[in-house]
Amino acid sequence: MSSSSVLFDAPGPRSKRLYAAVGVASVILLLLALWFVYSKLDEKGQLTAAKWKPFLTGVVWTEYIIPGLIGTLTAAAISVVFALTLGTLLGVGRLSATAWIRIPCGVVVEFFRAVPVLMMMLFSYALYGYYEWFPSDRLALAAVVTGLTLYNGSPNWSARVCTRCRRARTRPRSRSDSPPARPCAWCCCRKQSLRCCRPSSASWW
Amino acid sequence: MDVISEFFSEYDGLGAFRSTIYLTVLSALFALVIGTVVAVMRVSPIRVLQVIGSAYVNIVRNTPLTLVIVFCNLGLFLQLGINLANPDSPTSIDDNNFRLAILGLSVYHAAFVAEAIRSGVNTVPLGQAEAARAIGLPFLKTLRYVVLPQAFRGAIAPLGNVLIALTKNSTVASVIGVTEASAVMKVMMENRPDVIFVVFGIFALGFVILTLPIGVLFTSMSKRLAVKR
Repeated sequence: MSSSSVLFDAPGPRSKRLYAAVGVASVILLLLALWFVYSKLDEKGQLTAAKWKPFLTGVVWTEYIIPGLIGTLTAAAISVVFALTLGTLLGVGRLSATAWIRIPCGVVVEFFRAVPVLMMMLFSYALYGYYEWFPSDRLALAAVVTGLTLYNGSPNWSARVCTRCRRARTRPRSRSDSPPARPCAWCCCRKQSLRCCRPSSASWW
Repeated sequence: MDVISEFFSEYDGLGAFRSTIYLTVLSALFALVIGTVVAVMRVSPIRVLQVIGSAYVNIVRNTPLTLVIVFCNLGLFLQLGINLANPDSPTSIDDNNFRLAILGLSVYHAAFVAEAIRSGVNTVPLGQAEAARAIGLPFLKTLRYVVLPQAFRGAIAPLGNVLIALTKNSTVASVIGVTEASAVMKVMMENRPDVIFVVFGIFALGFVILTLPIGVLFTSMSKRLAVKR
């Protein structure tokens, strides 16, 4: 907020009136919009008790909502583990001194950065369904996890590992700029970079 | 190889990518407008607008895009009766879903645009805004002539990331029946499960062709247009 308060002076009497007027006007507009939504819903009978009663019955929760949430959390938890593994490998691979490792890792990352996650899910669903690699009740979960892993692990996580490793390599000179810097990048940077990555990684899962 | 000719003739793959591009470009324009307004609201001196702006960003950003787009169809169209297409035209339902998808995509990505622009505002040195106030510019003129031009130039890289995300997220429009690239890919995969790798490859290549140039362009623009300080 300190950066925004520099954009305007402390209001004088005229500005205060103006601010109050604009504030009241926007509240009125907002209330009008909410009232419009309410009246339309009321007109369609969406607000009658019968439409909301299902949420009070146990079956809706035990059969639909809770299994749905569990499914979401399961998919998220599994793909976080896979994505961290894949991303760390690719991120470190992109820093390799060997072009045979560095370039394929870069291509893989750029590819999965460009392709929508929904398409990867659809593709893996069709793939697993056709070759029957998974039992049919696990098919959707496997496809979702594959999509999320490729999408989050490869570009997001590996990019973070990559930048952190580069930074770690330049900053504490004594630890990783010793003569065999490149071969030991993995062991030196791993701990530091993962520690640095932790807060930023929380936002995308 | 017959898959590739089927892609062009039978499934109108180019048409699918054309609607992906339309979705992306139109949503990007609307998202930029809405996002700029929201960002201005968040830095404005009026408390109510600040609250509305930050509530918008926090609510929309934490809602899955699929939910936003499904709500556009089930909520806005079916319940609130908001019809964005001419109801008499024969393609009314398709047009309406297409426009509702654009609305949903714009509203969703506007939150990210607003955050990008706000981060751009933070790159403008304090002295600039102080100087603008010192010569007597009121809040909106300070933004219009001094802060926002520099903020946009500082926000090009994050805005490019939002545009790439928007290009890919436009596939979610398929959930309300818009025939864009991923919907056509799904149909092709269902009809020809023997060649899913080729089908996926074609569509993935399409997205690589769409998104890679955006990334390259915005990276070079963010370097070229950055305010030299």
